Amino acid sequence: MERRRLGVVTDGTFEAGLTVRLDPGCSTEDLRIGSFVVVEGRSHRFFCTIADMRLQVTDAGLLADPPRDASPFVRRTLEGISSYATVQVKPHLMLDISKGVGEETPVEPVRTIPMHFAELYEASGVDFATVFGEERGAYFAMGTPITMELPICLRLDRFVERSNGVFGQTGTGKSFLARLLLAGIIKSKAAVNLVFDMHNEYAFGAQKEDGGWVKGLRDLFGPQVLVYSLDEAWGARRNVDVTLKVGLNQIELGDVLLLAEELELSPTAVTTAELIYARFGSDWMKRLVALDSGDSEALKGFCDLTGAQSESLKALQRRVKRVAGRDYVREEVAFSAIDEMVAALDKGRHVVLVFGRHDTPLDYMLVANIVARRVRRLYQEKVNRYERTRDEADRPQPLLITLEEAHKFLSPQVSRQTIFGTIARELRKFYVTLMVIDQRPSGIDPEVMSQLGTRVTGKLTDQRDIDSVFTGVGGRSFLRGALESLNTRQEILILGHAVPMPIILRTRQYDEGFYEAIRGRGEKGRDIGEDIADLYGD
Amino acid sequence: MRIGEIIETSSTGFVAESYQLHQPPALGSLVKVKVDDEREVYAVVSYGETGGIEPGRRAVRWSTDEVFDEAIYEEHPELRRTLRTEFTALSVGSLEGRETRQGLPSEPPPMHYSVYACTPAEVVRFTEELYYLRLLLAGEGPVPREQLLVTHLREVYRARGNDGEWLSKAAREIARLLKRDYDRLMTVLLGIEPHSMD
Amino acid sequence: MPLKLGFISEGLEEMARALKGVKGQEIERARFLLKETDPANLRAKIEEAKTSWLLAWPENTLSRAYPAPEPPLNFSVAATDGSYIRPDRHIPARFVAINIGSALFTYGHDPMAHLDSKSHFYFREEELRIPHPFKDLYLEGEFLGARRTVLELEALVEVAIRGIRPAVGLQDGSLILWGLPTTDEPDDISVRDHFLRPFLGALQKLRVQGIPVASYLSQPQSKDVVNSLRVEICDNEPVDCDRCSYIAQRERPICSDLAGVLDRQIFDSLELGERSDLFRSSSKILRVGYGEYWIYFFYLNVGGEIARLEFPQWVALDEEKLNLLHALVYDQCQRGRGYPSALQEAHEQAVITGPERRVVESLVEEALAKEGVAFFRSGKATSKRERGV
Repeated sequence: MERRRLGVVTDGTFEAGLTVRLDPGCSTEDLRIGSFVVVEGRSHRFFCTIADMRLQVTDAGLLADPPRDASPFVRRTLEGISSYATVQVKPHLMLDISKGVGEETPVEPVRTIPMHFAELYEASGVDFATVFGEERGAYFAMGTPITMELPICLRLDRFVERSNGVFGQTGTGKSFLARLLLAGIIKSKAAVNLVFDMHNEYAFGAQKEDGGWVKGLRDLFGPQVLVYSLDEAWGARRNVDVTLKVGLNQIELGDVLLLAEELELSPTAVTTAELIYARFGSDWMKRLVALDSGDSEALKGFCDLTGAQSESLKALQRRVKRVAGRDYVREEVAFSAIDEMVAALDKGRHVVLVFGRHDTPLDYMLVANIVARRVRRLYQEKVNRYERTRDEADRPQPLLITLEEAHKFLSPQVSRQTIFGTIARELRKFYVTLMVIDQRPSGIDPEVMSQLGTRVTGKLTDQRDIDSVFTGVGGRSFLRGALESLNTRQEILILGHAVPMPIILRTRQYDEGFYEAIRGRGEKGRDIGEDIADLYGD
Repeated sequence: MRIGEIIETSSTGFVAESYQLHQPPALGSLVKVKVDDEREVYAVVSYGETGGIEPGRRAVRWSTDEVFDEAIYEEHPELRRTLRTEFTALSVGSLEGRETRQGLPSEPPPMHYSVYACTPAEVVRFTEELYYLRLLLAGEGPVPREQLLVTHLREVYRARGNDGEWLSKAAREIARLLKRDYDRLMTVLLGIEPHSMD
Repeated sequence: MPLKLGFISEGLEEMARALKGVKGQEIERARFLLKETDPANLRAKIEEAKTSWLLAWPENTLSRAYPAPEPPLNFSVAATDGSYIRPDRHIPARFVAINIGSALFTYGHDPMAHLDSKSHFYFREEELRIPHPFKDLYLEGEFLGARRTVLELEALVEVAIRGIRPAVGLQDGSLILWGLPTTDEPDDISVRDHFLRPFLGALQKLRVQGIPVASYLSQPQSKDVVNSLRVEICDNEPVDCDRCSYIAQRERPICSDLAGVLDRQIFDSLELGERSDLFRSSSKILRVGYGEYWIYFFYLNVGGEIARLEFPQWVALDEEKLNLLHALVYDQCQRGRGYPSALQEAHEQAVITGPERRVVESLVEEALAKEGVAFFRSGKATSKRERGV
């Protein structure tokens, strides 16, 4: 293995990590925080990341009088000997090499540390492959290490086992990351997807910043991906499968409470809503909207019935009417559309719900909440039945719900009110997990954050956002610097359940090459025709 | 080339009298003693001194307005007999058969044996390894160790045909040995900078 | 150091002052006499005189001074000196070791110096004895000194011959073998001859080679010229110390004022490099043994002092050789900062240091031990050696 040696271990604890003294020829500038490095112990190979760097001198005299005017000869001589650098490395995984390394030797969590003078090396392609595996099946390449052209994989099967987060400040390409992940999941059939596509990015092609076009999931996977639209007119011009309507009967109290901020509901309005709901149950919206508040008689009667204050009632009604007045809102809509959606999901198809022109936060939050609630309810029933029958045919398809602007649904204030908060907290009890996409992870309830299995993040600079990315992840604070150091466009940090150890990658390009790879060979060389036959029978 | 004869000898080195007055081997240069057919002891010249042969006879001023410097030796030819130049050398290694060893010899080199200047080829071969620099640094003598190192490194540099690579290697070894004493280290490094030697 | 030097130095100062004071007048008188005395008269008086002290015979004048001639461009100077070890009283063996040092300096366009030493070890009975019909005479005391002088002169011959010409040979001390017996007894004569034969033989060799030889006395204590001036003062006729009129009258003899004055004190008017006129020594040994190698002398201002040079007749009466001697001795003293450098180096070569002496002794001990002759140092001997605290 031609690996460049970087230095030797001189100190360390299991808790805090190892101190490595860099060899004279090795400069701190050759390394970067968060890079993947390997320590060769006597009987174990340790896979580590660089957590910190420090400059040292052997004699404090040098600090007081550094060789400013010295010749290159003198400086070269001092470098690495009188002045030297140490790096702190944190081992994550280890491999027992005492009896030779075979294909089957498992990579284990780190349980010990190497002795003094163990050597530190740059990770080689073989090391990456040992830890991250090779591309196949559920091992999906997310990118390459900064210094190498080697695909590094994330395990999609483990990815969908938990809820996840895709983070990064604006402009870091979160939607590209989401597309990659979704495409990978679809291709590997790790789960079925329900994407709440707020900005119409995922279903069909979208325009890049530089004017080029990228393909949508429908373009890549054809009829395997169902496109639902909220906007009829918008959908008519495109190849949309179903236009979704929302009925007042479908709007629950919680939906309105979720929208409290958007609708600018005062606390009294909230109380009023509660009163109305208490009185009328699922009919409450219809009744509220139908009320002619100009008719003082009716108004008074309404108030008497519910115990609401007339002024608050009027105010509430005004606001609620904003919702009711949406294009896609009807008085009464059956749940069948959503139920059919779930049936399709069950058969292995994926659904992207595009919002068309209805891309305000209000629309997004209302519809996503309603749909997700229904979906989750159905899933709960399925799971209960599966538990009763134990029949494989009854086992539900694992579902991944993709949610943008997640902080609106999962802030500490509202996370208990939304179905998403519930989904996040219950792990995968009902076979549903979330992929939350957000540029302000600090806006998300820390309790929810701590439940996220995998975090894929681009550059973040706000300290609170950085802190929140590491919520619930033990001992990773040393990667904070790594997060800040990421390149805006190209670089991501992945940590958590779906990767054996935290890794910095240059993101895979979502381009022709990717399309080829995705479209090309299915696992068993299936083509689209076969998939359709599978789905719909003959 | 025979340059002197050993007149004092010990485990750490020896003192030799030069054959020619005022012509000891250069400070810091490498010299050797042929102990027998198999063995040679290598040493680094660490000190030189010219004085009266008889203890207690100190040099006095002989010069006048007309007679000074070299002319003094013509006016007083006995000076070449009553003065002698001595040099001290620190043992740094030996050649046993074909094998070079670095370290103190097991016995002091024999008294009255000849001292030879080392040829450039011999210098090159001996200085491939740098362990002996520790002996130089640890040795005792009137010349400050740093200065001895400076002159020695310059001598070897030249003998090796201005070998800059070797010089860098040696400088780094010195940096290791003097890592706890920056000032002494700089004294050496500033003294051996390549441009100062051309 | 139990000897307390402090009080000695006080006394020294006083002593010197006293000396200067008292002696000052007498020295003045003697200088005066040197200048004023008529040499011919003095010679006549000395002819008839019988004194108990040694007299110097003025060959020409008394007070004439001769400046130093220029030395030639190329020349050589040879010198020898010797020292000896006698056995420790406590060592049962009898031996003598004599070390003769030699120096040959060449000057000019090919300057060179050769330094050497040669050791003589006498232990055999016949070596340690001086042949005598009935007396047991050993190589010790005066005889040892004489043997040394002979060896020095013989070594001088060997060395001087190798030098380029012109050349001179130098000895330290005196060429007059004072300690030898001077009577006419045959046994005395044979003892005398034992030393004089090789001695004069060496002088002859040098004469044949044309190499002037002289001995150099530094800080000479001699008074023979002053003694001659005392004869001048004496008003007895003839001058006869055995019949001194003053002593008969219980008075201080008139000449006694000059008794303490040294020759070098009255010749201190010599300029740098100048020599005095020639004098002939009247030592008895010369009369009975030296023949044509009678020893003459002059005084010379060498820079730091007035030194006395002694040399055989063939040098004294040969103006060229005398001048060469004068020139080269002075030149040597200039080079040697007041003492002839060749002699200095010869001396250094001859010196037996304390450690060397002990080496010889331990070699002797070893040799004796081999033959089973053990000896024990007396307690005194040991305590004298180890000066521990």
